[in-house]
Amino acid sequence: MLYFITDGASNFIYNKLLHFLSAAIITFALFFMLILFLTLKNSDNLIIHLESEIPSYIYISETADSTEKQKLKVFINSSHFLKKINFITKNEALNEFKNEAANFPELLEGINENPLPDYYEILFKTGQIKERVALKNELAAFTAVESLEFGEENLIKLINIRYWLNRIFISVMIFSGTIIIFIIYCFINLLAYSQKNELEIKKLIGVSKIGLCLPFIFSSFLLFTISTGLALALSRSLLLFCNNNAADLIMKGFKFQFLSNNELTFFISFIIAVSVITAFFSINKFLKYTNEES
Amino acid sequence: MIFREIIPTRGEIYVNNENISSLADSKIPALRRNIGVVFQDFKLLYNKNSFNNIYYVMRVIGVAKKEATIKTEQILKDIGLWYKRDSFPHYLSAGEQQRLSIARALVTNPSIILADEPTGNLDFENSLKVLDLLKNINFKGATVIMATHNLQLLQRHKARIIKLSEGRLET
Repeated sequence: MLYFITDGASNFIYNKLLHFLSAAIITFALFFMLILFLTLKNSDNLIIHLESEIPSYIYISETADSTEKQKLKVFINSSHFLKKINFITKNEALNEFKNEAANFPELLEGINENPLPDYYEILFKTGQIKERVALKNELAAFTAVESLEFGEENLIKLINIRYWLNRIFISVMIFSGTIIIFIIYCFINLLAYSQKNELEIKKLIGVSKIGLCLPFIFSSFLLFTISTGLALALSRSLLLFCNNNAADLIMKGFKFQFLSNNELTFFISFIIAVSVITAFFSINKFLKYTNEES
Repeated sequence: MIFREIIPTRGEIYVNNENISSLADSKIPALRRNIGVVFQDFKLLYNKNSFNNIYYVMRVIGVAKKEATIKTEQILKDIGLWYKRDSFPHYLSAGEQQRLSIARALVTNPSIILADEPTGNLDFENSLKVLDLLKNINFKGATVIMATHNLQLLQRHKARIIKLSEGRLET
């Protein structure tokens, strides 16, 4: 067993160019897949972050009596979805407007009475679109509410874009995965072909099938371990670079996240399983073909 | 068929009292470890020197490094190729290559040697040397089955001859 493993490792020395090229292509494909996955993962986080930073407005009706206003206040204050509630009176709103329009006096001409209503400015905790829509529907039932401005239409557009992005990225990831499987299949075939004579002699002296396959499976495992390590290191470095230089430009306080421990374990296990299964399938087919040929 | 490379369409083949026509695939390696095969075209590893051609097989069958080195040395001395241990097959004569190929077949200490036209690529003098070697192996207890077209050679070394003529065996 140990001999077959060292035999697999020694393939690296005897077929340097083949291994180097295969490792480079697999590393690039894995890196590409990781970047796509991290983009999807972080776009989710970015949307949630964005949603929670967009304020919503509840405008209060001029005709509403104090009981209705009180009911609305109690309802808003008891909501678990909100992280910040700010009540702005119509006078405060006008003052704010006047401050903002100080450089444009023509905008203030003709304003004798205050046309602005009292309103609440609210921020959601998690920014889930479902919570936003649910709260909006409940608030619309209050007679004290004149109008609502929740901006969910823009968020739905953003989520739709993300949905299609998701589909496109997953398709590209599947395509990259197929390329990786194809590369490892060809790599094992080339490696087996370069050791055709050794394989034939091994068969002659009665080496079992697993003994014939094991060095190639180990070579594939080793190649994937190196490529996965490189791809993870590259994507991690890129992420750190983005966090240090670009994350704040996208949105203040936002940080790109790397794979979680569970995702990392799944990714590595999946890659190892793919490398071993593909290598076994490839070498098995090669042995069958050489059997038929002989 | 004896080597279980192909299965007979009719009849049965017994090797060491075991019917190999119905042998399970998992038992084929064990059967092959008991049979040494010699080919007309030698099937040597041309990227390994004489020593490593034998040593490689030793290691593959699980012999420890030290023991493999000693046994390889012994086998090469037995067939008279020790002085060519560092030479690659390309630098050996056809007779020497065939002797090396026979030495490799002996590594697993088989009870049967199948020699498929072992003298096919050799001149008469080298053919005699190879035949002597096979005869020595036979004297030591192994069964040697050799296929040849060279009747002149057979007349020099008397042994049981089975003639295959027009698809029929004649003893």
